[in-house]
Amino acid sequence: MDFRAYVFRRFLLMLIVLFGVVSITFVVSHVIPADPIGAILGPKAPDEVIEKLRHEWGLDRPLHEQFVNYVWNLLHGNLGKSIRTNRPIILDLMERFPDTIELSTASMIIAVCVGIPLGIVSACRKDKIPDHFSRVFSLFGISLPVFWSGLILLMIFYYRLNWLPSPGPYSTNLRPPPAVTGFISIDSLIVGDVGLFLNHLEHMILPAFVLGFSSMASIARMTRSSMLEVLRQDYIKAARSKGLKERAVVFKHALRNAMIPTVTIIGLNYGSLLEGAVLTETIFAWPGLGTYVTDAILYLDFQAVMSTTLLIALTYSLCNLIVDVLYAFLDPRIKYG
Amino acid sequence: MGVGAGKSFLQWLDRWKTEHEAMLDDFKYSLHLLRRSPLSMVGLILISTFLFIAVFAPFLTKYDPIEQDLSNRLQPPCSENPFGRDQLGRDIMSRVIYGSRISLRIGITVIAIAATTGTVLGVVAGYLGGRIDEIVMRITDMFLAFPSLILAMAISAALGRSLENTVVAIGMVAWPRYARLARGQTLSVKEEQFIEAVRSLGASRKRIIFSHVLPQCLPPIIVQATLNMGGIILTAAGLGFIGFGAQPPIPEWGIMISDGRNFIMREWWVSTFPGLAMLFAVLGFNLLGDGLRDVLDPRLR
Repeated sequence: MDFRAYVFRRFLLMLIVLFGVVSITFVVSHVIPADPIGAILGPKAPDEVIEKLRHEWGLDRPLHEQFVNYVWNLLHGNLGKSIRTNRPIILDLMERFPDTIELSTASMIIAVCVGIPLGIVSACRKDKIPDHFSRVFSLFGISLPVFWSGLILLMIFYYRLNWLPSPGPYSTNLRPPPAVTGFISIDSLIVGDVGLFLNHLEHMILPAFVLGFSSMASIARMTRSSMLEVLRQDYIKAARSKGLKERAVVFKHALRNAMIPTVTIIGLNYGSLLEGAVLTETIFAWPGLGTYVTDAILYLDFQAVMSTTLLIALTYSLCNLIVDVLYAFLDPRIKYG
Repeated sequence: MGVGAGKSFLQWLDRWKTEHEAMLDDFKYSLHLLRRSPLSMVGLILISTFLFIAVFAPFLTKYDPIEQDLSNRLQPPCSENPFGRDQLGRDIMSRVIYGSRISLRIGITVIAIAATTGTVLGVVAGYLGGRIDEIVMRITDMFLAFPSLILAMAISAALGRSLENTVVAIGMVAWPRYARLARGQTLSVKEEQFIEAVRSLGASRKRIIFSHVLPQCLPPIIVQATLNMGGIILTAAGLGFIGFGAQPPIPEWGIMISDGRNFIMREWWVSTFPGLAMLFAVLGFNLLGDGLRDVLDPRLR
């Protein structure tokens, strides 16, 4: 199979998976015994008002019709209206998505910058003190409950030491920049408001660190084990016996090959960061998808929940697709299929 | 049981030992390696402590985890209440102790459901191949593409928020990893010569799958389950924290952390101690799982 056919096949598989995701969310949300209309109107609403609204939302039609209708609308980019915000969901999502992407990207940058060096050190000093230290550190990372570490760090760095600002995307006395891209960092630079930009970065430090900590751990772990495997191979022995310095062997010869599995892990982790954002955003009052979906579920706003889930699953699947394609591209030994 | 039965049991045991000598030796060697790894031993100690606390909870504290004492609300840690009291005057230490039971119960039930379902599906799909394999693996992919915390949130919102539904919700999200792992393992095991030997002896498909392929898939599944245990405890507590899991007044660690959220700036002890307890429990499983993986993965030996 050639490269293009592989990418095409992979793309088709992604579509099938996404269809499955839509089906699952649909089934889950329609098994719900609670009544969304009742949640909005309250228990005292007259029956005819309830009926009218049910009809308006299409909730009185048979399930399979609702499903076909839903998929049809999705394909046309129409995600429906949110029962809670009373706005088209697509607008809500477009407003919230950049904030989550910003936060996850910042987390990933921190995770990569700390995780990869940690993994390399660990592999080069296997079973020595630095290795134990870095392994304990990364195991701590995956063992920490983010909703707890977030609270504790807030208490220490904001309340006790006052080194870092309060929760929220920027200080309350500042105004948000006019939305051009939706990314506060980019928009603030567009209007030349450097103060807001720096303020925003400052507010991002804690949530990004908390969110990135677990990815940092898995990146370090993966780098360590793939480095160990590469360092044991014959060509490394050859490079060493040629008289190369250990530095050159590690960074020039081993690292390049060891990076391939790490790249995969980075891609996969980026997808799960979007999800980890749910808990982190709740603590840091971050106005992204996480807080949006939590509110939506509390209000039994099914359409909004389904749309957010779909958006996250889509991003996640796209990350996987990109990683798979990159992988096949980077490593010529891999056969497509 | 008579003497004869005891004797025949010993004979059976001897025969079993000779028949499985290679496996036993491998097991002993793994155990030896594990004992030499200090991190795994720390993990084992943490897990044992956690189990001990969960089992003997009523003997370790004199306070009822649910009983309120409003006159002593938010009392700081002291000799009488080493972890302090929460916003309803409940003793936090006894809530932390009883909370270990909740987490352990969720963890064990979820693993039992998810690992069994996932492994059986994966092994069967991998061994049979063809269309069944394709269907099972696509369903697995669908669940894996799903943001699992959000799916768990939606499921527990759908079924009603309770401890039991938390188990169902997390179980539904947790099985696909096992299916994938078991399938991958099966694909390589099924090509081995001993499987062909068994097949040529005329063993049925069911027998081959369950008595010969499945046991070979277990080591990586056990590692996965150990590492997963920590993740499940975290997810369950996360659900409790945002209000989709166990409901108050159950002494669940996630709820307790959420209780202390509004007091974190001054009355720090309300959230801090349940979080620390959870950190050590989860860390224990991760340390042991990590060590087990090194021991069972010959590439890292």
